[in-house]
Amino acid sequence: MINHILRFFKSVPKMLAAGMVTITMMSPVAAQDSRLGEIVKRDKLIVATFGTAPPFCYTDEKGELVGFDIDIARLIAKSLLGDAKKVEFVVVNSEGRWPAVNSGRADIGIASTTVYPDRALRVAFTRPYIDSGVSILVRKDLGVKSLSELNSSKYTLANLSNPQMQERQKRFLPNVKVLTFDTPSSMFTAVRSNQASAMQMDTPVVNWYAANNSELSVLSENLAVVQGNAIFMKPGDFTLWLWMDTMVQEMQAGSRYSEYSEIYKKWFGKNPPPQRFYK
Amino acid sequence: MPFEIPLFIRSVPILLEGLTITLILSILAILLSAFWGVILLLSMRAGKFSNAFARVYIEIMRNTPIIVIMFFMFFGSGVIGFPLSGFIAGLLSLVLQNGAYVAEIYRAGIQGVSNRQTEAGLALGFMPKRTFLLIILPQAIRKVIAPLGTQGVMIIKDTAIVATISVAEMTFQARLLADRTAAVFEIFTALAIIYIVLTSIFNLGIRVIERKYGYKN
Repeated sequence: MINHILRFFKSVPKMLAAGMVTITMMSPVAAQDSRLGEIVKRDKLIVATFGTAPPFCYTDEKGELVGFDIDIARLIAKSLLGDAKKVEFVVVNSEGRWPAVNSGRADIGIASTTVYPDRALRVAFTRPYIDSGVSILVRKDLGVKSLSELNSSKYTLANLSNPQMQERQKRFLPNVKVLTFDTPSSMFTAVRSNQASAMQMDTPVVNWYAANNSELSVLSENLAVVQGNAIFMKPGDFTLWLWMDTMVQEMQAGSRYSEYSEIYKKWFGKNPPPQRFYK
Repeated sequence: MPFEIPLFIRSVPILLEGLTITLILSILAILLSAFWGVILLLSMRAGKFSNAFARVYIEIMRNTPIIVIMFFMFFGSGVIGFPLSGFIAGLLSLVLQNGAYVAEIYRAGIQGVSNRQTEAGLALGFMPKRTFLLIILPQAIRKVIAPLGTQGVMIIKDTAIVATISVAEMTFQARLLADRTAAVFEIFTALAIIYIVLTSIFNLGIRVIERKYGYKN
């Protein structure tokens, strides 16, 4: 019995030493271990996105995910893995997009997502890949033509459950009544079913809705704000973040500009800003 | 992914802002469901036609997801030109569905009272209606306290769904906060704890009532 105990204590230093070696061997590897390597090894990019936010990321009549964000994800997969098809989408809802990347379920998120300081504390954003602006979609039968006409307690504005929406509403339309929903499609249903008089949303989104519904129109006045949508991921992985940020730069002002502007034209019918002297 | 304790603590007072509406909605929905259940029960006993009608209603309500009923109430009322507020649409949906469940609980409670009790009442010279009111009903009520309590807990939890039709209750506040901060786990953990405290208090109340008035063998 005593022998057993003695033998155990004798082996303690050896065990400690072995442990130390393991730790010292592991830590530099762990520090360099980027999710980017994992994506390349897996040969597939996993992207968290929305399924109900046209024209950025939504489900078409055939049940397939389509939209500007979806095409951007495919362009990234093509640039990273050589094939636009090597991407898997994880469809999430508004608050579900954060744990989707932070838990490692998805590599990155491309989900019509606005950069916001509170959010940037918990996810890492690239530079924005689009500034969408914000416009107002109204029911034509109300006869509202301007923001000042809409700013009345007679009317109800549909918001999404995010902070930018509330701040803009307080700034531009402080007198209007407010309803708050968790998806753009619920907002849109509220406007169409007369529960709301109008909704605020990214300009391309309201243009898309107005183009597809004759009883709705877009106010000519924009809400004067910058709405930077960016790719987000789990913070702390510098290698992955740098690659994604570089990719956004390449799309907007580098080797992928032609493909990026093709996608932009496909969904929004015009060239992306800033306009260039060469075409 | 670290769990941020300070953020967790900061989220509690914001969630409690929504607690008032959750409480009002829960209390109204529980009381009105109990009442609507009685009406459905009475119409099941009132005659062949009203019985068939109540049965069909109960089957439809029990087999439809509550969120579908809420969307019908909220968006549907807008389409036909009488837009209901989110609160009213949510309350109505909760009462319409849970009233159906409650009616079934009442029915089971009454069936649970032995037939011999009715026979005994009639043998003692009570009219059928008085037999039901004075002998069967008091016993049935004692039997349904526990299942009604369970249904009450279901109602409290279902109030979370009205967040989708723009009612600023607790889950709604949690979603707003989670969307702002991207700290989903902290906020939803706080939310879960508040719901557990709420339903535990409710359960405790039911337990006390059950001990005092409940059916004892």
